[in-house]
Amino acid sequence: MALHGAILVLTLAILLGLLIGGIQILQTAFYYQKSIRSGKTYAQLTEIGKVSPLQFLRGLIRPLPIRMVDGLFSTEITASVGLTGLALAFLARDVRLCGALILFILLAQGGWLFRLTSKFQLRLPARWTYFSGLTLAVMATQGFSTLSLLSPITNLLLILQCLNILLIHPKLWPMKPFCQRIEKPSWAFREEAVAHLRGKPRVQGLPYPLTTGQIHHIKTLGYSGGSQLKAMAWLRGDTNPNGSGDHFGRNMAPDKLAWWLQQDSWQALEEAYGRQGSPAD
Amino acid sequence: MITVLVFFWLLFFRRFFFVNPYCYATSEPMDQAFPCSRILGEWYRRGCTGEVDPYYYPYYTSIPFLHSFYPPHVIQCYLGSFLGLDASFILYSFTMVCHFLFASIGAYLLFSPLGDLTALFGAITLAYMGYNIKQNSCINYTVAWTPWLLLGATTHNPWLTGLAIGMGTLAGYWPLWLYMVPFSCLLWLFF
Repeated sequence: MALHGAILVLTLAILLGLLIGGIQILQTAFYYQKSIRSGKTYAQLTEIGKVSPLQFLRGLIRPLPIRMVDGLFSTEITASVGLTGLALAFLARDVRLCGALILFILLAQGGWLFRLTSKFQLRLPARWTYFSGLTLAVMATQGFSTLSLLSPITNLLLILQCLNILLIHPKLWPMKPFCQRIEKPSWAFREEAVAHLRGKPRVQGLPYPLTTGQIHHIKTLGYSGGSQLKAMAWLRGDTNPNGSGDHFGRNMAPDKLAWWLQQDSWQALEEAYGRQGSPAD
Repeated sequence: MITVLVFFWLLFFRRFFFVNPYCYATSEPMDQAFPCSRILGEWYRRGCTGEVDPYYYPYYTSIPFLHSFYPPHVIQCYLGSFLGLDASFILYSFTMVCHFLFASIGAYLLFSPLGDLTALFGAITLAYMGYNIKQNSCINYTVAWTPWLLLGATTHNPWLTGLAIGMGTLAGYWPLWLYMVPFSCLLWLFF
């Protein structure tokens, strides 16, 4: 009976959540079918972003943005909770948490468990590292709580944990050395930098940070990432299932480019894609 | 204890607060997220009429990771559209950074039944764990709601749980959030 009551209140909570988030859910449901994100196979989902146990361990112990891991920045696979936190996590005595941690590490590997659940997977295996980190953070707190009767030690551990996180984790953002030079936006986006682009068929591939065209209202080939429109991938000749296969439209016929630059809405592109003919038809 | 969390937050983002307010003006924030926030702000100023973004993102508001309806982001974009590029970028960075403080307060309340010191340890460990330190605003915004969702689930508070589910959904990093919600439901039922 108590469980029934709990389920009823929980259902109300979920309904409230859906009510608040509904506007986004409805719009995304409409978009999802138009994007290359829909209907991905296991092979496409695991093309990049698999985290081996060794890489996971490295991310725990040395979470610095210094290398790539299976196509991702190393910061995307770090479950670091600080070395003190990691040591304390071993003191947690909760079997459920240990089980959950093993489950998340297995999922992040992108192996048999990920394949088994691939119909329910939205993104790369590496995203499960977040849940490993979350579980470790709870385990570390449990471990700290276990020691909390020994006050002098816990104070010291708390200070160590603070120092550990304060000294290491801020280095994860921005992601050096994989990012561009830091510049004031008014300088980076100065009008002089784009003056030569106006009126010319330059599209995506504008110099950083003018990639999007939004600040200066310059038309581009549009977003080319993992949630891009099927229609845009078709126009650009992008065959990479993860998107980003061809930012620059190198596979794009000149007449297609010229046609696109004359359009003033995304709908025109959708209609051309629907016809599956030459966009100029 | 909240004062300690604020102090830790200031120390963690010391570069932003005390050295260079443009220290995040690079990579994805600059080449995508910030221009997006400008164009969304312009759209809200136009009274939500016309296409949001004819330049880069088709069906802008349909893409969850652009969090077009996430209230703190909407406020930031709207206010930022009245400012120059530099001031607007500082506001954008500040909004992202504030989410870490928000997450740490939620985590502190989550662990508070274990005692003050333990809660402080848990708050710092959970809110500032390595995975959370990302340059993508959608991830920052979404994971900031995790402690609040867990707090709602473990205290069986339908209002807080519903609010967290909704706000996390609007924040928009669904590859994490769509799994977080079922986990919190299990917590609710069996914790």
